[in-house]
Amino acid sequence: MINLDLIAGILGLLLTVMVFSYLAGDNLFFRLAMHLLIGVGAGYAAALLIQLVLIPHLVQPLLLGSGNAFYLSLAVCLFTLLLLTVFLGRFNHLARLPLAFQIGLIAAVSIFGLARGTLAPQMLAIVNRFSPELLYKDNLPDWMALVKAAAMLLGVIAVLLYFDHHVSHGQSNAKLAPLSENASGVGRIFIGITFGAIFAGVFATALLALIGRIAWIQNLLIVWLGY
Amino acid sequence: MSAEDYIICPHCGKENLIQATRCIYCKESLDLIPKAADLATSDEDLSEMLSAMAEEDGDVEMAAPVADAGSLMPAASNPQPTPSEEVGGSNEIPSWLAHVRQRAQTEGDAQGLYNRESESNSSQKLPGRESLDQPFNSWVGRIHDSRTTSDSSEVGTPEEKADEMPVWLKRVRDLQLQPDENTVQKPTGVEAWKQEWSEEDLERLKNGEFDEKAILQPNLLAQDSAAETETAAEDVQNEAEKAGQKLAGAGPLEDSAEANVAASENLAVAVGESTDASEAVAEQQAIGQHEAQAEILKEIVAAESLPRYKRTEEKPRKTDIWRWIGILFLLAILVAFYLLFLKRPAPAPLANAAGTAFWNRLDSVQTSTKVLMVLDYQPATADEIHATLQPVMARLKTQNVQLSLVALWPDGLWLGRELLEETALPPTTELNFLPGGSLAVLASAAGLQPAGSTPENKTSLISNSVALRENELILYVTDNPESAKTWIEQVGSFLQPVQSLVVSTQASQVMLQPYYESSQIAGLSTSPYRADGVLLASSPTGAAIPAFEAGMGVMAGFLVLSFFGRLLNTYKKKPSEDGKI
Repeated sequence: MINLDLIAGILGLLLTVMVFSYLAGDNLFFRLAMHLLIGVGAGYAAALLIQLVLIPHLVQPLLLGSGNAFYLSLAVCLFTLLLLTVFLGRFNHLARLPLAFQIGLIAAVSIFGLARGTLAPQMLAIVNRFSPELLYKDNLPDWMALVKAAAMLLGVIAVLLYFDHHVSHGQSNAKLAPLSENASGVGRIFIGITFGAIFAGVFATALLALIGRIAWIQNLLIVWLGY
Repeated sequence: MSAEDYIICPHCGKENLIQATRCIYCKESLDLIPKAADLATSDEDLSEMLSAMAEEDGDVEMAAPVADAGSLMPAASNPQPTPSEEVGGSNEIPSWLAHVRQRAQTEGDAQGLYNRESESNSSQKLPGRESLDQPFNSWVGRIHDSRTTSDSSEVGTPEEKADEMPVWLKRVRDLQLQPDENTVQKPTGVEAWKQEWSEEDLERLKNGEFDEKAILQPNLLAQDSAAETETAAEDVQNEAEKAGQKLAGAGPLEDSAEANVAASENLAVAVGESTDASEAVAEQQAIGQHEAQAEILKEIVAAESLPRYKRTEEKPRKTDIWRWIGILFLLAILVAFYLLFLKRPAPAPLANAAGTAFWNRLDSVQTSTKVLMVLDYQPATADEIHATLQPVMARLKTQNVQLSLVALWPDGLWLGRELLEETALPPTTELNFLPGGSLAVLASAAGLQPAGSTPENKTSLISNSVALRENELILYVTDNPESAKTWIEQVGSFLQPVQSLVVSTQASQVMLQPYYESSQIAGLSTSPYRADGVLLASSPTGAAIPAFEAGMGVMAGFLVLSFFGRLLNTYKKKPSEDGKI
């Protein structure tokens, strides 16, 4: 009897090695693995969407023939059909309507969320850092908290000045004041530290993925060879 | 009619309107003929040239500028220098002039035509100019012979027309037809067109080794030259096309080069098809000019395309070797640490305020409360995410909460099942797929019902999403900081901050930490290595922590080496005080 887990494990091992072969450069095996991954993923997603989305949320309400769900699904169906006109050369401009609706909706939601969820809370967080409740501890000034708050404020201002400096030099040759020049240099340091930390995090994530694959291969070999 | 309003036909010497493209008398083409005004200017230039030649001799003075365009030989007041003086003065004159004079004196005027003609105009010529005029007239006569020979094959009655035109016009016409001396003396090939007279050529000319037929009688070699021209045009075209392909940025120059190459090709084809030798000569000269222009433009294009700095030559073989060495070194250290320190206990967790707050909030969850876990990560980061989630789910299991999972991507379905298996949670735990991503979650957080949700077809998916606010705790699991930001911005604003916890990868730590600082989320757990209060030995990657440490150490080592390597290169390239590199 064929052990399906073993076959799947061997296939997984081969695909893993094929993906790792990209370390030696782009090659046929890596492309084959990528095409297989994309094809399987697309097929799986399509089957899943038909089964879990289209049938229960579009077809079944349409079969009801009336009610709010029917009319809502009718509008969704209409938009879907308009989107399909992109394949028709003469009427492909009709596909712009659902796309415009979706892009406009996403843009509006993003702007609203950005202002409400990031800009305002982050600005308030910087200001609140200087509140007396945080700067005093047991009726004594907490110098460490003050330094942290000052560093955060300095970082925000310097980074903003750096981008202002960058944009100004991109648009005109107007020179900034020496103070702005120095502050933008400080902002550059903050940005460098941030990008360095992000790079370290990305490397750590990739390293953990590599270790996980090596551990998986080791377990597979142990099971396969029987010791 | 003024002098600027007509042009003189080079073949018959008669005047034509300036708009004419062919001579009204002999029907020959006038395209390449300069205007009469240009002729006059050239006459003046010729007079100036002769004056300069006379002045260089040191003992011949020009009496007056030439008043008549027909008298090429200006009057001179000083007597003719003796041959000994000429030889003695040859050190002060250009070498080419000395060779020409010597050659002319040696051979003399083969036909005597121009000497006689010059003598017929001797009313304006002094005896002292004889040594200067004789070689010059001989030289002009040779040029004229070569031209009239080719003209005789084209024009039906050359002798009659030659008799009609004055001698001065013949000379002027010969000179004006070939404004560039080199085109007469070097009619074939691009290199020949561009080449200046070298000392070797003059020496060969002096010794009589120079092929005069190839120079002065090109019509005899027209057929061979046409074939050579075709080959040269094709070569130039190929080279110009290569240069054009390499240099996308040099648009105008490239276009000009291609235009010249195309003209050369057309002209070469025309020459190949023509059976008339004289036409071949004219076409050949035009082709030579086009070829030379194309060659010059190609060189300009190539010069413009050169980088401003010297590029370092790529050494792929050496780079490959170092890349393989680095890869093998990294893998060897990882495997060594993984095997040698497999049994080593996990290190003590580092102090992390966000991680501590995460676990404090998790401990505060009451029994039988509803907890929703939103899965928004990819299989590539499943190892890291699952390592962080396993102790979290184990804690929730001990608290006996009502846990349900929602995947925002199709992959999340089988990843969620794998996670449930790893944590030994009952397979009946609710796991659904929510189409629409963050927007669908946003609609749920806002209390909106998804399209198509009816009491009749209400599924557990919809019940969960609609009841987003009813969950006491929502864990958002993602490997993308941008998705986490979107979640916090869009969905978090509809929820209480104490409801939201985020589980993510280490790469997202920097981007998500400010949201904890601004109290928009209750806690943040980003990696198994820094998850406060949690031992990760039970996770698949928990035993690989030494390998993780080794990998980070290797990365740090590479960074330090590259940093010092860059410093070293900068120091090497830094110019010294004297400007040397």
